[in-house]
Amino acid sequence: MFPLIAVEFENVSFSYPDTHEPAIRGINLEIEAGEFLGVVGASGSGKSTLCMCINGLIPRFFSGELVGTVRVLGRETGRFKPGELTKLVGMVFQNPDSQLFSSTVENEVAFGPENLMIPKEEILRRVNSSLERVGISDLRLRSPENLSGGEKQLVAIASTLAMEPDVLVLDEPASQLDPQNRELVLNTIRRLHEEGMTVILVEHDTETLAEFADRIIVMKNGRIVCDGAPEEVFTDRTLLDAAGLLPPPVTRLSFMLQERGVLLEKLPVRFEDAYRVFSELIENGVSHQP
Amino acid sequence: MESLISLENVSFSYVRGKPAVDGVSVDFFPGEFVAIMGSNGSGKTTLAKLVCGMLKPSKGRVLIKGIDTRKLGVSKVSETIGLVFQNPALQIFTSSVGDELRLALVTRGTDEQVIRERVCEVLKLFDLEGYLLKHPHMLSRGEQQRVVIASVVALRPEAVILDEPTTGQDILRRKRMMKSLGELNRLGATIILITHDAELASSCDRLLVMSDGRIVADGTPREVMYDSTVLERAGLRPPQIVRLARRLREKGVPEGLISVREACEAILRLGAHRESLAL
Repeated sequence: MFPLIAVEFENVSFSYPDTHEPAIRGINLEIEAGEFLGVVGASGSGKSTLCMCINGLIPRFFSGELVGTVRVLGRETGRFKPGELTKLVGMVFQNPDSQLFSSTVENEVAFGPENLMIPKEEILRRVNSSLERVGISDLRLRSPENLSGGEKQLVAIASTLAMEPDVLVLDEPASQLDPQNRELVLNTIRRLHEEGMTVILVEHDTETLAEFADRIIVMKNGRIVCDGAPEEVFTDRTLLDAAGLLPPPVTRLSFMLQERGVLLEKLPVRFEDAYRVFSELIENGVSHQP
Repeated sequence: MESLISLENVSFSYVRGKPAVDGVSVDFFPGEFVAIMGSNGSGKTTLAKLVCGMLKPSKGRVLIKGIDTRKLGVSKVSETIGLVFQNPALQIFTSSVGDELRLALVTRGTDEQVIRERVCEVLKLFDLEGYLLKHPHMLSRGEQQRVVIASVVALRPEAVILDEPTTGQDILRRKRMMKSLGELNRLGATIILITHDAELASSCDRLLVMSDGRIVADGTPREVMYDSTVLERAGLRPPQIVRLARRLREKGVPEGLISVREACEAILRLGAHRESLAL
């Protein structure tokens, strides 16, 4: 059986109005249903533009020139009626304050489904299940205004889940949060993925992506310059330098050991792998490259 | 050494009975590079505002070179201490980067020749060459942040306090910003950096941890990052290298490793030792 393709880019380029350079160009990408895709790249490399092509904000909201085809679950995004695509693709932005506007968490989460004109019982069911999936049922009657940054971001995620999307796109959802809230949000995203959600996560922190994502794409100047598993992408020094990326600390440690002539068969990108690799080095002794 | 900034049992409450900063005593010395960590709401930003005189303590006192901020006033304090807010948009007033960098200098009646030199200097230092005529509001958050830091540094303050300056900066820019701040520090400026980034904080000389309005740790990153009780209580996580070193302790990796380089040396040493045993 062929895997189900959740999102597909076919030779896609997009230029914002009054710009000389396209924000993304020649993008070819297939994201399978259930995949956890990490997107990295320097500021201005086209990551957010890529995200907004998936949920149809481009070209519906942002005018400009879109070339090529973007498909969600096999259908061109331009062929969806307004509002239809929001049922398939949920989007969470960097700053939760820009996404929240209701007086209670419950109303916030109900807002999306209310706009779909579905029966009240169904709306309630969705509110309950979304709050539960994100683990914030206890915040139901609170005002989003008085929540911590991490809790706000969880409310934003619950609101998109209430639309029962197949794909969740998150554009640096944890970059403005303190470490505790960051972990709260990222662990929730990981759990949703384990339950089968297709996740596309834009994130600067390669340490996080190495632990979470199945696959990484690296963007530079609007193009995808690398596409592979974290252990391939984050160990490719030429690529990392060219794209302005810093790999996880444990990977930098293995680079440094290599520079000192140590023979390493595998360069770790995840903490547990690193622990194993470096334990062995210490126990068995380092062998130097011939 | 005489302290540049001295907090004596300082408390401050926005709401009566709920101190945001609670009985803090701490000194900052000339030329230090200090990081302050702590979860949201732990009092970091309030502390910064107290130091630069924007807030006056409800209890205790803040001394800048021995003088109480209550007597100095904000503009006088700002001659010694520059503050860079977390949200750069709050600190941008003019319609071009050039004007923004000149503004405070002109207000202070600085000589035109000096203004030009200073502007040139900070453009270079903060990677802003070619930005002179750009409108600050057309810039990204990260770029705006650099403009604000440059405008503060152009005043040559003796200390600069930066509230999470690396939010919204990509890795390369973050590295360059730390390099610029390091350079500034070598020129003699005291740097106080509020950050959530444990790896950045580890590269500073001294690390303070705040929790519930109090300073719960004050030491070298080497000491503080290995104090798991304090970190846990403050809701912080040590950097990956520290976590690795702790896991590898049973294999002989010593406590106190803080950088990738130190971890590399330790593994080489331990590995070489075993190699010679095997022979």
